[in-house]
Amino acid sequence: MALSLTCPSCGNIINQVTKSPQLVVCPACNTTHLLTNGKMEDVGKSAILTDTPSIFEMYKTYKYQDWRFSPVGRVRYDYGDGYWDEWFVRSDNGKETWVSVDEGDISIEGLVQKGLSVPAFDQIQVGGALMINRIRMNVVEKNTATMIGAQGELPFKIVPNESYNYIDLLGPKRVAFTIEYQQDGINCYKGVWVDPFEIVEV
Amino acid sequence: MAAIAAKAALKSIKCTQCGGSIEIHGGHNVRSIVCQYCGSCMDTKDQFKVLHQFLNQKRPFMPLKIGAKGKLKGVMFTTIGVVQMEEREDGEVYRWLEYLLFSQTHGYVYLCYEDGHWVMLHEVKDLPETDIDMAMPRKASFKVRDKSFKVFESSGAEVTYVEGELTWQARAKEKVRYVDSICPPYMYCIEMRGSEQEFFWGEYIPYTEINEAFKISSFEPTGIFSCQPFAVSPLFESASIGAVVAGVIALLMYFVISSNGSLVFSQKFDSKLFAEGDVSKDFKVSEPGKLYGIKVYTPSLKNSWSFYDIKVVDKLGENKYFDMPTALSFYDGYEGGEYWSEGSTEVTAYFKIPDAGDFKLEMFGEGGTGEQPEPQFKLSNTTVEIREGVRQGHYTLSWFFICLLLGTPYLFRYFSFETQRWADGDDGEGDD
Repeated sequence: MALSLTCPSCGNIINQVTKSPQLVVCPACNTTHLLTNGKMEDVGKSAILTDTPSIFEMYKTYKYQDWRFSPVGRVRYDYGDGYWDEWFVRSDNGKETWVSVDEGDISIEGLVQKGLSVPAFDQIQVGGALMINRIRMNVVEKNTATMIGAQGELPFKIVPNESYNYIDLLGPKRVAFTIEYQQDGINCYKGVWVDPFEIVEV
Repeated sequence: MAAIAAKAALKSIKCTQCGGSIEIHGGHNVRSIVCQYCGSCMDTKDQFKVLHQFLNQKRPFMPLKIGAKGKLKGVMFTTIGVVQMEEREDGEVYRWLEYLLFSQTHGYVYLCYEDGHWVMLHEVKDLPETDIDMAMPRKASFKVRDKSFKVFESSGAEVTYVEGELTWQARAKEKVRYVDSICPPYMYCIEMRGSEQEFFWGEYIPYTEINEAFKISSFEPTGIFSCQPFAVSPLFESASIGAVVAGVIALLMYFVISSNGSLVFSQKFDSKLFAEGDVSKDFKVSEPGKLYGIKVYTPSLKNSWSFYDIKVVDKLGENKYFDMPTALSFYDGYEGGEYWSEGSTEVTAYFKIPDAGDFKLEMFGEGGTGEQPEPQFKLSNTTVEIREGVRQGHYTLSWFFICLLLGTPYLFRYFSFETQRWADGDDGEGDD
């Protein structure tokens, strides 16, 4: 059941749509709140992320093949040459996942391994290979991402300007993987590429 | 949390080589910009540093200009760059334009222009279900996204003109190998630049749609493009396909319905048949009202004709049921060393008998080689067979031919179109 939260900054009613968000950005005043035991704590203003159109809009429903989902949150990361958006989406069946969007390059991301044991970020070279779960994967990008803005509901606490290192890998059959070197551990995500022309707004 | 200001996007720059004004239309994945005035290729990721220069570029005819906006597949795109490709094969030169279009929602797509035809392509990561290589033979087939594609062309081309923004750094005379495969109106292309292999999904766009989208007046296409769909009016297509399907159903029904029946009588007659006539042994009709077929077979008939007066009478010969005059003729020979023949040595007639019982045939034959019957004419062997429960299905066969006739104009146009599609490809096919 959706809960109604009141923004302590502007009094706007925010309808909570995800199961257990830790962070909520008020769509009215753009104030970011930490959600603890149902109470919203103001932690500052977030960047306005509506400056450029995206294939998704918050709370609209989209369909990709048989999958229906609605974006309920977004985090924007800068990687130097540009930025990409991580959309936190909620499926019709309540399942929550991430969809990354970088100028029409879209993939559905799923955490495949938490606390991964891989060489340190500095020891990894683009063009090299990593064996993960006995599968050889090629390193195609090595970079640092900086969080530059957020919107909606998010399942974790974000810190503006916080950076983390990541490497992108290409596995067999062009399956893409991303390894994030976060403060709390190294996580591996599998990305499934999505044709933007197959996404339709319902 | 501190507010974070969004980065301001550049709208235009001055060429770092010649100072010419260049408008910026693409996104952050643009890697290079080629100045339309001096051909300098600038690095968008390194303060627009000049990487190299396209010298003496001759600007081709471009139906779309950089900066042109248009809505394709419901998505607004801006034309941000263009590359002219050239392929030389057997003394012929083939050139086409590859426009790079950008949408903030859908990213980058290519709009290819050749001989007035337009194809919209975008990079995909769907690989064929079977192994493929860059030297696949023409018409080799493979599946992508549950569609069956046929290889149309495996060849190579080089870059001869570049202008505007690109998501890679193009070089003059840069070689590209490609495999174009088709499943009209779709196209699946595999492109190899250096060691990088990319896959593209394309769709043929009618030039009228491009004209409407970009508010231009591009020329009417010439010839048939590789992935151009066969297009006729929907009514004509539906009616024609319906007629062909109905024809196939009619033909199937003919095979189901028609039957030679079961043999109930067979007898050989000698030359007495021609001298004084003959009477057959009895045959039984157990199911009155069914169709019976009587076949007369004269294997010794050659360069002559024969005529049989066949009567179906009851066992006692008192009641005549049918009188079936039946004629046969067969002629053959050699002319100019070629064998020829006309006519047949067998004929079948059909009858129904309203009553069950035993019946027999009263037969008399005559024949000749000229126009008049010859008294001495005789055939030593005439076989007569009667089959019970014959089903002809002539009506369904007639419907088959009528339907086929209705569908023929469509089929003719379709096969002519396909022949021309592949013939055009043959003319321009290359496999260097």
